[in-house]
Amino acid sequence: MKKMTSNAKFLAALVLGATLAGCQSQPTEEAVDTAAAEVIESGTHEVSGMTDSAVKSQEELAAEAAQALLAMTVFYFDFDQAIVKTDAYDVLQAHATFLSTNPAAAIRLEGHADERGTREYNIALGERRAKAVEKFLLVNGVSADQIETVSYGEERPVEGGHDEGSWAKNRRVELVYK
Amino acid sequence: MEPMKRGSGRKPMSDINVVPYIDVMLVLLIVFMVTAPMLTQGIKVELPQAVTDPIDLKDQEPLVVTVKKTGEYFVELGDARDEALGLQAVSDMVVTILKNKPKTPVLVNGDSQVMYGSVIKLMAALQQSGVADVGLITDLPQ
Amino acid sequence: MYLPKMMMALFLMQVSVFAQAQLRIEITQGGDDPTPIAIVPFNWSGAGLLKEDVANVVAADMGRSGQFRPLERADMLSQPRSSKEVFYRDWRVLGVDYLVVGRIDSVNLASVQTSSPASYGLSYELMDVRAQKPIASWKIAEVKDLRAAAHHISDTIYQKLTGLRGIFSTKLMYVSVVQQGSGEKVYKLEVADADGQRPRTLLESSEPIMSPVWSPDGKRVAYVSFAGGRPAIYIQNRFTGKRIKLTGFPGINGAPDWSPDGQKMAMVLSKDGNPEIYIMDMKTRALRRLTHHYAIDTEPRWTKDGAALVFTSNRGGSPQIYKVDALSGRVVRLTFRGSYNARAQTSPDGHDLVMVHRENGQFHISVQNLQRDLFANLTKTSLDESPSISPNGSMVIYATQHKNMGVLGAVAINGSIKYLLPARHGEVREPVWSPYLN
Repeated sequence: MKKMTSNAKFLAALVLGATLAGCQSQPTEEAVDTAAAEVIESGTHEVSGMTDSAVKSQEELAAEAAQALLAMTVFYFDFDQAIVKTDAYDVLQAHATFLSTNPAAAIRLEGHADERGTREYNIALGERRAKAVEKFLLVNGVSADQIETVSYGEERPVEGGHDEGSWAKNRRVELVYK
Repeated sequence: MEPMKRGSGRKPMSDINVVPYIDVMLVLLIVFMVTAPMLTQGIKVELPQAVTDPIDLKDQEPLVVTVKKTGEYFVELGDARDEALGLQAVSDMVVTILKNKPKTPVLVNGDSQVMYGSVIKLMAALQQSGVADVGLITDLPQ
Repeated sequence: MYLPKMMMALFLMQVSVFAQAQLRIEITQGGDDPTPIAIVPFNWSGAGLLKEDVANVVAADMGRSGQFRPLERADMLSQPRSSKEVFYRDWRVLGVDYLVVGRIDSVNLASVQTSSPASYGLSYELMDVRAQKPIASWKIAEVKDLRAAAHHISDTIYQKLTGLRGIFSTKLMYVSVVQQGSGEKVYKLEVADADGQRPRTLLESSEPIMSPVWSPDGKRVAYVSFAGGRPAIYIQNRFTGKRIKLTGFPGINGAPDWSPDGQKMAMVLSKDGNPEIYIMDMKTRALRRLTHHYAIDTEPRWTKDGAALVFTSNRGGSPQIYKVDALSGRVVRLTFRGSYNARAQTSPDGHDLVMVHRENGQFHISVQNLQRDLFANLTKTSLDESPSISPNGSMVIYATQHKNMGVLGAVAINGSIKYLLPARHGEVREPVWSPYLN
C-alpha cells in the first residue's frame, strides 16, 4: 500500500516535472492519487502509440530502464548500520541523475530503524541512514536544496512482526518525491 | 519310583517335606503385606505419649477447637467467637487459616464427658480440611 | 470474509472513540518474602454505596509494592471497625503482621445546585498484630476524591512500615497507539494513576509522539511530536493543556530531559549535522552544546544532583553509557559489559544505573551498581525498553512485548516483584514515572 503510494507520487513527479515538484507545499493524499491515475492513463496511451511504430529507439529503451530503477524508492540496511548497500547504487544513481537533470524536483529521505534497541538511539540511527543516502546523492550531483531528511526511528514500521524478516524490512530509507 | 525301591520296604518316612509349607507361608505373608495397608481405617491420631511429654508447638500459635459436653464446637475466633459452629463452619475456618499459615498446629480441646463420636467427626473433618496432625489437649491428672 | 472484518473495524473505531488505554495489573512474579498485612474494609457511616472501595485500593497498592502481601478479604475472620474492636488472635492465626482498620464519614453531600461532589472524612489506624497494639492513626478531614485518598492512605502506611516514601499517589505517563479500522494509527500521550487507572489524554495525534518526560514539579510535560512531518520538542501544561514548541530545528529534535531544578532542558539536536547533546536555558532559551563527537550521542538524563548527565553514545563502536559533566563537558564511560547499553537513568540515591542491555540478542532492563561492580538483569523478556525509575527508587517501569502487543511492565529494582500493565485497547509504550506530586 505504502509502496504503491510512493510510486504513484514519483510517477506524478516524473511526468508533471517541474510544475508539481516546484510546488513546495505538500499536496494532499487525494490530490496525488488523482494526479497519478491520470498519469498512468496517459502513459498507457503513449505505450500503445509506440507499439504502432514497432521499433523502440535506443533512448526510449534507456528511459524505460531508468524509469524502472526510479520506481525503486526503498533502501535497506543492516542492524545498527548506516552503510548504503552496494546493490542500491544503480537505483540511487538513477535517482541522482534524474534529480540533477530536474533541479526543480525535490525529495524527502525518511530514515527508519527496526524495533530493537532504544527509541531515541533508533532515531539517531534512522537519521544516519537517511544521511548516508543523502550523501550518495550529493556526491552524484544532486543539489542539497533538493533533499530533505527526516528520521522516524522505529516509530513507523512497515512490518509489525518481531522477527528478522520483519526487522530487515523496517531498517530502511524511503525516498519520497515531494 | 526309584527312591521307593531304595527305601527297602516298610521303613517309616521320618522327615517331612517342608518346602510346600514354606511356599504356602510365603504366599500368605505376601497376601497380608498387600492387604494390611488397605485394612487400616479411621483417623490416625498421634496422641501425646505422656503428660510429661507435651507437643512441641515450635512457637506456632495453635488453633484450638473446643468440643463441649453437648457435642457443640467452638473456635473462639472471628465474629462468631462465642457461638457454637457447625462442622462445615469449623472446616471452612481451618482451610482459611491453613491457606494463610500452612503449618498451624490444630488442637482439639475436648471435654472429658464429651461423646466419643463428636470428637471423631471433628477429627475426620479436620483431616479433610488438610490438617496433618491433630493434637488432643489433656489436663494434668489432679 | 469481508463482513467480519468490517464489523471488527467498526467495533475498533467505536471503542477508540471513548477508550483510553486503560491499564490493568497482572502480577507475574510475587515479592520476595512479603510482609503479611490485612486491610479491613473501611466502615462507611453514610447511606448508600460508595463509588470506591478504599480498602481494596489500599490492599492492591500494598501488594503491588512487592514488600507486602495483603490478606484476601474473604479470608478475614472478623471485620473490626476500629482498634477497640480488634481481637488480635483473629489476625495472628492467619499469620498477619499488620492490620489496618478505618472508617469513612460523610462531610458534605453532593449538591446538584452548586454541582459540587460529595466530600468525605476518613480516619484509619495501623496495628501491630504481634505486639497487639495500635502503632499509628491518621485522619483526612475532608476529601472529594476517595481513590486519591486511598492512594494517600497507602503512602502513609507504606512509609510508616518501611521508612521509605510511598509512590502510590504518583502517576505514570506513556504513549498509547491504537490502530484504527482504516489502518491509521492514533497516538496519544496519556497520564494515569500509578496503578494504571483513570487515564487522561494530554495529546492526540496521527503522527508519532515520543520521549515524554515530566517537569520536576510534575505540572508540565515535555515530549517530541512529529505533527507536520518533522520532529519538534514541545512543553505542555498538564492542567491547562497549553503547549509551546520549544525547538524545531532541521534534523533531530529529541530526548528532552528537565534538569532537577527545572531551570534547564537537556535535548538532542542534529542541526549541526550530527546528533549531539545540548542544554537549553529555560528562561533565555539559549542553547549550549555539551558533546562534540562525530558518533551518535543521545538519550541524556540528568543525575539527581543536576551536576552531570548520563547519555548513550556509540563513540566506542557500540552503544554504551557515558557520563558528561554539565559544566566542563568532561566525558567518562560507565558501561563495559556487552555490546549494547542504552537509555540509562541513575537512581535517586545515585548508586544505581538502570538501562537497556543486550544479551544473547535479547534486550533486557538491567541495573548496574556504580559503586561496586554489580550488574543484574531485572527482566528476562526480549524486547524490553524505556526504563523509568520511581521517585523513591524502589521500582522500575518499562515497555515490553506481551502476546505480541506493546505493554508496560514494572519490576522492583531488587528484582523481587514483577507485574504487567497491559492496555485494554491498543499498545502502550515509553512509560515515565512522575516525580512526587504532593
